Amino acid sequence: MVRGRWSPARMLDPTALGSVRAGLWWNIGLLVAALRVGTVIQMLPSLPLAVRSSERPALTVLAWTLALALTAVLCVGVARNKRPPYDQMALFETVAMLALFGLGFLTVAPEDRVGNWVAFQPAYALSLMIGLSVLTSRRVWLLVLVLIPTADVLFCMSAESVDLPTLIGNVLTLVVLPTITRLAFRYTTRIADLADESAARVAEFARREEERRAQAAMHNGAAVMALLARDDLDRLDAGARQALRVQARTETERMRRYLTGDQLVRADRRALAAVAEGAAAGFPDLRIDLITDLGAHVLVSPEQAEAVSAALTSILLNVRLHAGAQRVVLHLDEEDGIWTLTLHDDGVGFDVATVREGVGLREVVRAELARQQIAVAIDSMLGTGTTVVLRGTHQELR
Amino acid sequence: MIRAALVDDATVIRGALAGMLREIEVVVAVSTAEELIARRLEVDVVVLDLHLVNRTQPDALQGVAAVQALVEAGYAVCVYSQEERRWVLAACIAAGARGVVSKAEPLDVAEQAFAEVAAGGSVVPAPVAGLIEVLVRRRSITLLGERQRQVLAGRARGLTYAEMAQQLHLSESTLRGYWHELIGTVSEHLQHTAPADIERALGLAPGDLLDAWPRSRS
Repeated sequence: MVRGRWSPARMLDPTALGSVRAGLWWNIGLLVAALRVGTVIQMLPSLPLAVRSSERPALTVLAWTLALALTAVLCVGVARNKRPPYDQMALFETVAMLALFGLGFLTVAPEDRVGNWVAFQPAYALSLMIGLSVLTSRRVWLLVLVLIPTADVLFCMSAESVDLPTLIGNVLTLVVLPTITRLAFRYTTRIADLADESAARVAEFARREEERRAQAAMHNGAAVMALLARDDLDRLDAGARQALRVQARTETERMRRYLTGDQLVRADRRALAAVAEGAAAGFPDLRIDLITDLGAHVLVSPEQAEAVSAALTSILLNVRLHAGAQRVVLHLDEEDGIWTLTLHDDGVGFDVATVREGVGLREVVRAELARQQIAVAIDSMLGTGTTVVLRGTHQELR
Repeated sequence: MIRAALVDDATVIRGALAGMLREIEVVVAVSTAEELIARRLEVDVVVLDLHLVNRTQPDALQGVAAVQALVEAGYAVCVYSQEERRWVLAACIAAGARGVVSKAEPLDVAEQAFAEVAAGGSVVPAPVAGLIEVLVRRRSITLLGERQRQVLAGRARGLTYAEMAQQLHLSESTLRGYWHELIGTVSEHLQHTAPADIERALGLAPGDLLDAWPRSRS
């Protein structure tokens, strides 16, 4: 459903303007404008009486017009800027408010200056100060907090009959209510900022996760393509070339699933030994001893099978490309509900403390297996070989 | 220099291998185990092919029978064969062979294995170690100590002595000693175990080992 710019749903949506903070300021701006308009609506019925009872009706009309104009400017400002007034507007409004009090001295009879809407200035001042309390800087806010209540006190003291408690009550209302509003707004702004920070973190996490998924989906495929593109491909025997083609099809399917967003087809649990055997079958050029007797009964979920297969393929691609190994042993064991798949090669090894893991080990092996609750340990000795141990929980079908 | 005897029915192997080994002197190359035993030569290791029967020597001992005959004659035997069936290779260990090496291995790996056997050590490939591990875990073999079990597990996973030494905080020579004792113990045990018991432990069909397994010494 298309939502109009001024639709209530859009206006109340805290994220419609791109961030929670912007949405909050927009809604607080609307509240400030509504409060001012509400004050004016309360004032208007007293306008005829104010003009009639004034000794200077023209100045009275001017004062009311100024109040209406200030309200209009505020509403336009909020609509345009999507927030309550900042410092510049606050100073302008403060000066205008002082002018309204000045006009009040000239147009409102002393007996009308407290307790009725003919003297609209105290009520209008309260509405104005609540509006200014929100976004003004501390320095400007303190200036507002001194000037306007002082003007109000002077205005009320000039009334014909005013008692001290009423005077004190008026001043406290002007000081306390906007100050509480200011504190409450600051607090909600902080919450909005936290929400925005959280949303940004989630977005960054999602971006990294997507990047990781892409790396996991593409890494093995890129390695297989690199092998297929080698000039000496013809030197491989027919069996090895066929295995490479099978791997290429498997990795193409993996990349296609990533690009289309299709999920792995749900299937029954798979024998982990068969998964290991399938991965090893793609590397007839490596001498792989497959020893699975002790874990022949271990079954894993389709997702775990996919992750283990991709991890083994990635590790064996590393062995093929970098290890220079003469023999690889792939050993599966299960004891006390924990299965252990050990892959050892007798190649050149590497220093695990200094060598930074590549995308294959980091994303395809560690991250993808961790998502399937499969632990990975990699140990290597220079000149001796590398051992990768995968461990998972086996809970069924002993 | 290590002195070796070579038993292989293939003329080419007998002729070529002697010239290809660098640290081992092949003092005799014969086509049957019986011939070597008859000569009573003293060598550090016998490199033995498993398949020795052919048209020219149809009655020659071969397989575990040849291993057993050479072991009983006092030789340290290292099987050097294209045979890949694990239980056949395990049967050779049961028959007393101290080493098993595939002919598909690079020559330096094979030579290293012959030297290891000549020096009194044991060389068993990971698949056979894995088979022994199955027998241990299924309690067909119960004689091993904790360290021996750890060494067996490491060897079954392809770990080198250097890697196991780092993991277990023991010297490589100590581990080689454990391994050698282990193979001796296992060999002795298997020689006195009925093939049917081994078949059960390995999940094989009855009779699968009947022809491959050495005759019991008991």
